[in-house]
Amino acid sequence: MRVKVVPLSGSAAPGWIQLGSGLARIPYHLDAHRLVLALPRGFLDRCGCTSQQDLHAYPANGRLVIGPLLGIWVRPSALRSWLRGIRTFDREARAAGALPFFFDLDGIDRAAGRITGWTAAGERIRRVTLPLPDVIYNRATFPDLHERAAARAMRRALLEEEFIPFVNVASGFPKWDTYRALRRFPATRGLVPETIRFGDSAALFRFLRRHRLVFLKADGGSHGTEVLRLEAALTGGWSVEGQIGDRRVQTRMATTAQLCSFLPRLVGTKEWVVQRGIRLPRLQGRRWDLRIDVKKDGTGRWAVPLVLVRLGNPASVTTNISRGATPFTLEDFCRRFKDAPGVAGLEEKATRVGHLVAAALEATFGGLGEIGVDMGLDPAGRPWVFEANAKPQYGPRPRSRLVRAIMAYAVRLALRSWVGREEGGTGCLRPLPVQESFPW
Amino acid sequence: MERFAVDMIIPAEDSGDGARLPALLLDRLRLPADKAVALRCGMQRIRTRLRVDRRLPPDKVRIPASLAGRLGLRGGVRMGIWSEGGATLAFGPLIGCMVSRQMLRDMEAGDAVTDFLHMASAAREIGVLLIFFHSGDIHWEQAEVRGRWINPRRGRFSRLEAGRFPLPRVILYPSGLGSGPDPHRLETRARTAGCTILAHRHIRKLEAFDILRRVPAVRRYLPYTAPLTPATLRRAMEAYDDLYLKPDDLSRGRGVHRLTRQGARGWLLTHRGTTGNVDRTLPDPGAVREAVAPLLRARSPYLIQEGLPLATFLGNRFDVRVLVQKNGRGRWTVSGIAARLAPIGSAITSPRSGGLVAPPQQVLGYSFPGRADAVVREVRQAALSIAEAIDAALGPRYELGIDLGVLRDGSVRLIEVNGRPLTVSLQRLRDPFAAERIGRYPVHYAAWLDAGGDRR
Repeated sequence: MRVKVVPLSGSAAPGWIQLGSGLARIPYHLDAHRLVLALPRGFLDRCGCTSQQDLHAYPANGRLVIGPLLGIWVRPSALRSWLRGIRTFDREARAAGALPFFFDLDGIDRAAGRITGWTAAGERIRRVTLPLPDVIYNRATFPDLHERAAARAMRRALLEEEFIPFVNVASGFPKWDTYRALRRFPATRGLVPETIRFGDSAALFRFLRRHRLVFLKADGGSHGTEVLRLEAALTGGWSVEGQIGDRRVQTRMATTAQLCSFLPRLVGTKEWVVQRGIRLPRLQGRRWDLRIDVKKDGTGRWAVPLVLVRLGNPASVTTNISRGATPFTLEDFCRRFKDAPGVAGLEEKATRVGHLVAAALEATFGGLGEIGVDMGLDPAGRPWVFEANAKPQYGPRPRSRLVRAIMAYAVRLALRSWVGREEGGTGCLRPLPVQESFPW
Repeated sequence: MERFAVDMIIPAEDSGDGARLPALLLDRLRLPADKAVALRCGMQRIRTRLRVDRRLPPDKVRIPASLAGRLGLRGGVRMGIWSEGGATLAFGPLIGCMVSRQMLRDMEAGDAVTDFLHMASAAREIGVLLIFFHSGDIHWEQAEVRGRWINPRRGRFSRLEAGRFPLPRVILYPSGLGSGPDPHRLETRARTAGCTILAHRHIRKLEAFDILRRVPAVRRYLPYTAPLTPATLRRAMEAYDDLYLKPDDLSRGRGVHRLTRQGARGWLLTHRGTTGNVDRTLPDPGAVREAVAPLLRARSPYLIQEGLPLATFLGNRFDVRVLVQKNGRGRWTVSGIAARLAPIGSAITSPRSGGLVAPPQQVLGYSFPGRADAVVREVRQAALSIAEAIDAALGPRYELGIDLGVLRDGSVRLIEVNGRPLTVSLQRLRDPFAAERIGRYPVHYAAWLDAGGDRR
């Protein structure tokens, strides 16, 4: 049942309240008729619950489960630099009837069953310590490999040992895994350009014999910061252009063999993939492609709420917005360039591809809430998927309507696991409450 | 019946005058003070007197060490207690879980199967004392076992303690998870001792179909299935275009042959050889009979089954594995559903053969837009009816794996009943809803049986 939370005035009999994994005996009053739950002001304050906000309440055996407590896993840097986004997440989570808080890896204390994180307090954020949440919305990415491994182990423990459902089990889609996932299914295998792993020079040599335009990308890279474009010149040899970290690369190789011996020196020890390049359509000399935002709606079905067209920066080999590309919404773009080749039927193509890729990646990686799909057209108008992003930016900034659906989906997952825990057992929740009896 | 959670106090010096309970608790239990009653834990029953102890808080019980030792009770442990028939005070329940020697050694080395960790924490939640042992630890004559008791703290072993315990009334024996004695023989031995073994046991495919054919409620889920004989082969080739020939007691796709009609060109017989698929085109039924003859003589009998027009997900075939378990009220319940996707072009969905496990909502949602919920309901209904029918004939069981095919029209067919379900598929699914239940229901069900549920 969905209730409005108000501060308790006067006194009430104490009872057991469960929030996340925590259990406390506090006075409360539930008016099941008017759907109002009164809780002590101190308790509301301690868990960052605002007066008059909606929560869900579930009368379980011997206790009232309230929440869901929704943990939003972010990077602390995001918290500092992205206050507006945090506020949108916070507002929309509360509108979905959840109690949100933000945390990062360092704040998790599994042994004690609690997390120290942050809660929104007006225009600012403040520290808060809360029990393990009912559901986690994973928005954290980890460029550092050690952190990434630690976060993966923690996700696994929270999911498999604490039984906390996740929105976004995967923290990223490495390009090679994405390629393999999409190649698994007849319906998606034709969407991905041929890709190999970088490392075997004989395989690379054969690959470069087959394809005249090739991209070399860091397997776990993002924002187009580790991408080289290799193009066979008409006069023989290869032109190499792109970015590796802060270093801009622009050079020519006289032969394929020379290129094959040059590249390993450039890329270092990281994992890289080599992908056949697709010649993107151009407008005013600038290449364009699409970023398709695929998100779960509140009921858990995939939807495509937003498609951005990225008109590339001529100085960059990629169309990443962070590398100077100009974003348009699909509607704007189609209106402005309606006669350009490839524009007809674009929305239908993007929606279909978005759904296909989401279904294939979720089947492979586990429960997801959102993905960003990079799609481009070849000269024949055929769609190709270059890569997928597990933590797509919400356009230039989070839009309420996009965040709202994800939060509703997170609440749905949490309520489902409440029911999963309660039904058919002897009616006891974890952790074992210090209660008087176990009615059988 | 009400069960109360209490802390056991076992004083070092033994006053020797029966169990001491707070007055409030005795009153709620409706047990007489200062009269002879029985204390029961597992199969152990000891007569003694209950004394009122006014100094005890309402959730503490003092048991003299001599009694506690024979009952297998441990000090400082929170357990359930309840009254049985007004003259017995029961503890726990005490539930046994029999595993292989190797698994026990792994556990002692701190390397446990996740399922057991989940079972241990499920036990702790409801005041159950769960002990692990192997078959050699049971002393049937003394009605005693040498058990290891787990004290889980947030998913990890903090302590693994060995000790003597009474023989539990209910013993879970997940024999699918390792080697051990034949469950059938063990069940007979246990029955004479008055205890119930809830075991996994292999179910042959034809055995399951024979049982289910006699149950009207599940007949519609059964594809044509018969022992392979010259006569059934002939009839099946007249009636169907796509047939599977499978060994009756093997699984994981080994030894499976597929026979498909190729229009005027006759039949195509395919099987997976050591180096890939082997195809043979056979012009007429006589050639088919000849090619199939070795299967008729095989050591393991073969069955013949119609090929099912399975629905596909993004172009790949899939089936669903449903784990059904008895819950804390003795009813069959769906604990988890995993969709298993075959690789491209393959019909084999097992994760060990390259299959992929995915959430059924997603897979069915994609394959049956707008109808997924109805298909999921049909899957659950089929799994539960099949489990009930198998349980009635081959029970008591506490969990079964039911493999179902979903056809393109959304209807459901039984592929196989697995009497020794592994939870691998469901673990790969990483669905908290399912994970919550898998380790919990067996413990709840066993506890329910101990406390007087229908034990059959």
